[in-house]
Amino acid sequence: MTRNQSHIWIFLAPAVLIYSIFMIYPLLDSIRLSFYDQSETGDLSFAGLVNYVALFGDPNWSEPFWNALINNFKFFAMHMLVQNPIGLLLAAILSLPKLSGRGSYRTLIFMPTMLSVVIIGFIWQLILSPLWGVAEGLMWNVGLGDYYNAWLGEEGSALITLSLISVWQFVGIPMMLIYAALLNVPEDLTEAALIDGAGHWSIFWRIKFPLILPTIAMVSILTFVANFNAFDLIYAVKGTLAGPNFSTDIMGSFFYRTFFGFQLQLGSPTMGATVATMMFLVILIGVMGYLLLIQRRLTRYSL
Amino acid sequence: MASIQLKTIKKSFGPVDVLKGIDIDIKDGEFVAFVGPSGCGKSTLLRLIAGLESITEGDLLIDETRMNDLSPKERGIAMVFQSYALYPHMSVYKNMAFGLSVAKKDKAQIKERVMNAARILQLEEYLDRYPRQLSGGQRQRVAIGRAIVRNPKVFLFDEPLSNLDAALRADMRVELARLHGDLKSTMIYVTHDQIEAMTLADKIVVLYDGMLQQVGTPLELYHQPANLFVAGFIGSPKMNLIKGKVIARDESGITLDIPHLKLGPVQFADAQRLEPGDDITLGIRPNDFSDKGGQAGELSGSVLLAERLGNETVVSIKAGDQIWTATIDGLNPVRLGDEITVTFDPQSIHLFDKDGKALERLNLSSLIHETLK
Ligand SMILES: Nc1ncnc2c1ncn2[C@@H]1O[C@H](COP(=O)(O)OP(=O)(O)O)[C@@H](O)[C@H]1O
Ligand SMILES: [Mg+2]
Repeated sequence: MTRNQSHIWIFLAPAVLIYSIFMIYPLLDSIRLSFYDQSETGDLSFAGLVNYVALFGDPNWSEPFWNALINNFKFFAMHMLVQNPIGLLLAAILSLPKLSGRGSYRTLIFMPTMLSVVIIGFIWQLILSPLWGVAEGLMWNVGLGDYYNAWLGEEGSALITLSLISVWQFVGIPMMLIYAALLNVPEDLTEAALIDGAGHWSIFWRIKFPLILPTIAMVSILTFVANFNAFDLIYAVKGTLAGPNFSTDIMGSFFYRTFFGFQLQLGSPTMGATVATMMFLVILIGVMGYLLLIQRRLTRYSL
Repeated sequence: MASIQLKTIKKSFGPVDVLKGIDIDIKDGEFVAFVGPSGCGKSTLLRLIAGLESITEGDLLIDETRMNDLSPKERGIAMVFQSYALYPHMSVYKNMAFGLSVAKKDKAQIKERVMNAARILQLEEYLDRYPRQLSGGQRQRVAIGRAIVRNPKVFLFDEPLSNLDAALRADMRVELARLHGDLKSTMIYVTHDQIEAMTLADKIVVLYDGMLQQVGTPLELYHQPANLFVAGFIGSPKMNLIKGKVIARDESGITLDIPHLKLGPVQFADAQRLEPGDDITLGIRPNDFSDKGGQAGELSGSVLLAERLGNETVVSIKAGDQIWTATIDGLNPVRLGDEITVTFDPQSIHLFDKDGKALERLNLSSLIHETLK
């Protein structure tokens, strides 16, 4: 019994076509571009691994590259250490049975996520500015004025501050995902644990947490991908130079400078493609590692 | 070991009164079943006792101590849920050990108690499995095991068998009865299945519409239901309940007017409550009818339906515009449309006044009086 299965391809074609044109082709083409060199006149010529050799071998390239990569890991670490635990905590609080005003909290915490990053960057710059910011005055009011600092302007604290701004903006996303997972844990289980003599603390850590672990892992990998693609907040607050002294430079902003150029340096599409390919590789390795090492070991329990 | 007292317990969810004043006395070591139709508040009552819901009004005493404001763990109870509520990420062993491990018991003691429970419930081979790898009956046993290991004063069961198939349910019923015999703990068992209640319980509590209808032994409920609701709820097939009138009352008893039913004067302990002209409801259980003749009461009509169960046949008999149910000999060759006469002992009837309250029957078997104590 042979059946004509061409209809399968007909139905798949639109999606495959669109995905190929807008996702796969640009990706492959930019990887291809990274193996080319551009002459002064703009002509492209195949150059093998020259760009990669330059990126890793030439200190003018390798130093900013490693700086951006390490900064990006710090940026990611701040999200993992601050955003996701706070998201978890907020979700746990939201799922308390006796909480009133649940809907308002949820909306308020989620609100910044829906704002434009440019606005967020601008707002926080205003708040934290040592010249006209409200932060310093507020801190004096509660007696913490001595601890005020121009956090965004100091090399040591600018990246952390930017990470925290990003955390503030996006904490609603892990909160919502984890909250939804918590709601999925059947009430029977909590009640059974309550009867078994467990307190709320052990119910959370010994019953609910293991059951929402797959969601937390998913939130982590989403955070990873988003962080290594981040660019807009740095650009909105710090511009292309990711100052002070490149201390807030991450892969996205490094790529932007390489591709489009800055100040007197001209942009280089081929070097840009090389950096973009490295970004792609870092994310690919991260996601593959997650899928192979973590995802496989996590069991999703049918609840 | 514990006794339990409920003193005018009320429960409201917002404006909805779910329980409207429940008084029950449960003795140490008793097996008590709460029965009633779905939605009557059985689970709610059980959850009040467990401490999973707050009591709106009234007092709950366990061993003479007021429990209203104590948390579930301070009440010394264990509960088995209808859904089993096993922790899906823990092995059978860990599921059973969980309660002891949060109570910080030492490892050796936990192990001993879990192994002991596993032996009682024949779960020893399954200790390393996860709930998803178990059948319904095994999961149910793990849920019971989780209750046993904590050595509670009171066991609470909320429809524990209703997710099992009929054969397994019968087996588990036997196991539960054996368990109660072994552990001798106080047990409260919620079910909507009157067979489970009748077979397992020392004492049955019938609930309807948030109110207590009757508390009594299985035989008492069967032979002396307190009102129309209990009469209709307990017993299968359902009791015939037919409306009629009192014609006369004298020393020989009460004479009733029930269309198409031949019945002499009947005697009840509190017959003086009725006056001629009163509306009453008469009840006869289908299996009090017989097709063998020789009894004083008689009913004649045409056969509307005959369900042959083998050991007996359940017939619907149409007499006038009333339809009666009677069980007759399994080999009786009646067919649809046949005229049939069935007889009954006038002593076997139940009588309910116009408010649906039962009159007290005379000459109940000594067995029933025995269990009434
Ligand atoms: N948490 C609740 N909130 C509001 N109404 C409830 C709640 N729990 C139970 N009820 C209501 O109480 C009544 C009794 O419920 P339940 O005790 O579960 O009945 P049963 O177990 O006898 O079937 C039902 O009408 C149900 O809708
Ligand atoms: Mg129920």
